[in-house]
Amino acid sequence: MAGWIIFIGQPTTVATKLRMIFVQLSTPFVKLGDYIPVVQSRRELDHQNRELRSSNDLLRQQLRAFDATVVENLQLNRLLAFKTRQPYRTLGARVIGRDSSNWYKSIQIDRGMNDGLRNDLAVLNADGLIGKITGVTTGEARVLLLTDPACKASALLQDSREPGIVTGTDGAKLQMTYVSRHAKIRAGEPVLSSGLGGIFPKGIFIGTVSKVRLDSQTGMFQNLEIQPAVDYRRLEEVVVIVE
Amino acid sequence: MNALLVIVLMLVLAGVQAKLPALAGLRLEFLPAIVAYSALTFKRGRAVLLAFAAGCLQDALSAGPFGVTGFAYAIAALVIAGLGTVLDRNLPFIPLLAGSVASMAGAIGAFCIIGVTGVAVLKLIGVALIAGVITIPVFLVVDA
Repeated sequence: MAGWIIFIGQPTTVATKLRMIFVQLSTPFVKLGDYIPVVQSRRELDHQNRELRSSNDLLRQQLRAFDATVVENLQLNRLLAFKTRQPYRTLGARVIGRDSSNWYKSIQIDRGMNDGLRNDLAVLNADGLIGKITGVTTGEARVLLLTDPACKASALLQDSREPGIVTGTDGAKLQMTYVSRHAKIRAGEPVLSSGLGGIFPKGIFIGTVSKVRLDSQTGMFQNLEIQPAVDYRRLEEVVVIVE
Repeated sequence: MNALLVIVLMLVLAGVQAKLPALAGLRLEFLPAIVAYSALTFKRGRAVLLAFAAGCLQDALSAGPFGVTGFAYAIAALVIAGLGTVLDRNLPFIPLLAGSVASMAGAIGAFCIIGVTGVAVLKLIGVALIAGVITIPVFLVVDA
């Protein structure tokens, strides 16, 4: 018996051939044996795949939420920095609705009478002047945008110091009327609120001059087309000047 | 039951109206469809009441003076309900026409406040046309 074991254990030609026969005989079973764990691993892989897909979806959602939070954080930081720079008492508000009508341009904010808001308070953001409050209830307020023709602001050209009235138009631009015909105005000149009228404080950025033309009806004034500083379609957070 | 459905639909559509994006600068108006439906379906008194409520809802969600659109829609409902006795509401162009008339009434109410310009008149035509088109599916849905 020990002799046989020693014989088989030796690397002889016979042993090698015997081994080959055993290998060939066992190969199908080995493959079969291999196959069973493969089935198991496939199931595991499918399971893992599903789990990874779902966690991937979750992570992508979280990433999107994170991106949105970063953007919101930047906006709020900008607004906070702007708010602290202002010499007025201000109140931050979120935009919760837009005007449902085709004939007015307004937004709805989440602050109202309970927060001390009332009609004719100025609303702005870090970019510039937005409009004024025209309707207040206990928990919300309606802000008439400067792009609405019914909203008028007394304004001043920053460099030439020429006064005028800024109003909305039917389009996306603003217009500045009653500007002296003798004033030398260049395109790109900034327009600020003049502080007259008692609603909008002085020095709030409104926009820049994009076109200058003489009033065709009277010929006494210049009408300026103003590119608004604020993107009125993308308002999310605003600041109300309470005092 | 149908009136209750119209009220619920009115509230839902009013909420949706402000959220939907504008089509070539024109906001989709659903409430004229409600006004048209009420005027061509219910008795005159109820139709006028519903139209007034729809207009007030519109005003509440807008910067317009409260009640102006309500008043305009109520008048539109009166007119449409008056014509409704001689019109066949099952013809598709009747809801289209009724929706457009209600939308135009709302616009004329707004013109009394903001004034009329050439651009505003062009806008009125576009808005009325869209409102008319929207009215047809509203009729189909509520009738179903």
